[in-house]
Amino acid sequence: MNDERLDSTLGAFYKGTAKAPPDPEHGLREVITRLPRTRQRSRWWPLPTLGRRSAPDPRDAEYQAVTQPLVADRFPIVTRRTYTMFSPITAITTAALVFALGGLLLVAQPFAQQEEGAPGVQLTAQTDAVAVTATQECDTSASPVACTYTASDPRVAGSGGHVFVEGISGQGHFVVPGSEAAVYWTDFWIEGPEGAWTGHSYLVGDDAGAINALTMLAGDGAYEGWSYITYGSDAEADADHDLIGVIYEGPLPPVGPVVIPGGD
Amino acid sequence: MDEGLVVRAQQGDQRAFEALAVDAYGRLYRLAHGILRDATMADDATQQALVNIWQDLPRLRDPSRFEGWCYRLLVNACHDQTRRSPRWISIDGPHGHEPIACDDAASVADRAELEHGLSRLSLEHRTVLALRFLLDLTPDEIADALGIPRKTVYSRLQRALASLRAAMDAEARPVLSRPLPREATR
Repeated sequence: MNDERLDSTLGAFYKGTAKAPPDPEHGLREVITRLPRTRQRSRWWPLPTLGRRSAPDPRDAEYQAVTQPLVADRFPIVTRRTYTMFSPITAITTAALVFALGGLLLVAQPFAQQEEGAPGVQLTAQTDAVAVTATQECDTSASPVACTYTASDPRVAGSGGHVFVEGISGQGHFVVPGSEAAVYWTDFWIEGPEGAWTGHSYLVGDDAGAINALTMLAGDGAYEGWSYITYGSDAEADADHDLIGVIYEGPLPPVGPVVIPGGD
Repeated sequence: MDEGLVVRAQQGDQRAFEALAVDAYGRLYRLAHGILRDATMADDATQQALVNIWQDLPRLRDPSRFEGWCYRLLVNACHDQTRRSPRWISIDGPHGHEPIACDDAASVADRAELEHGLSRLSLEHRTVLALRFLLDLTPDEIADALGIPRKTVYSRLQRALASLRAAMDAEARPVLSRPLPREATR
């Protein structure tokens, strides 16, 4: 069943199996009899909220435009209720964030100017293995998921993405019933500045909904013969998270049958 | 939804709340049933959610968001129900014989597969699917109702659909879905 068919089938299924309450009067009576015994909790903030109010209903007569006759060839002063677009809480929070960020940048400036610490600086001498820290930001609404990678090593910075693989060995993902725990795998790629990295990502979802992903990629183009192994833990499961990894000159770790010395 | 009624109920007016409850009961029940797939538990969750709504109503800051806020409390009540009854897999059953108002796309076979697949999903995944496909809420509305970021909604929807498809595939291919014996990997 493809995505579109599954979507339409799910819609028809949910609407077709939606049920009306068997005895709503009885249910409502149960609720109403419990109300006098249930004390309402008061708002923790005792004052009226300062946030922006929701827009009024345009059909409300109080907010309709009114025609005012001229008085002595002048428009009269009309006092009506108005709404402000300005929210004091939003303004204060924004100002605090701006000042905090400004202060942080001032403090961080000397460190950013040190030697090769700045992101995007081309490494002059490649070693056999290079440690990498990176961040992944993805648009999960796209199909396949489209990602942007910023990394301490420019070879693995750029655009990329991943797509959930189905049908490996005739099987799909493995999901623990009634839980978020599961195993997934994806096809994975990063378009570096002088070549691409392609491979697979292996994801383990835990019961709390977090996803832990190990990704193994082989380089091509200028990165032929190099491998990039990276790991990230995604607590929010929204595909945006930090990565740690290593780029090295050599093949990917072996997969497949295991030969145990001295075994059967 | 009458915001005036919500404001009056916030101030402790039980009559106003009763009017809101009458209006919301059927909608909340349908969502609870969509999540729990069990008529008795859905009824209990709906009643508990309405009592919780009454209790917490003064804390609702913006009356215009009453409906989405109700969904959030209902989802919490569904969680509580499943904690009380850990074995909560549908008793309405995947092979019920009630007439179905589905079109051809949702054949009886599809329905049985879907019921089975849904029974294997986590509550979070069932919730997001029910909000999306039963109530036709947009991802933004789901994010608002569940109090989670919009990107998490997309991600959770994607994972829920992948899990559902995997569960349905596993049902269709029971032999292949078992782990291979160790000898076979050597």
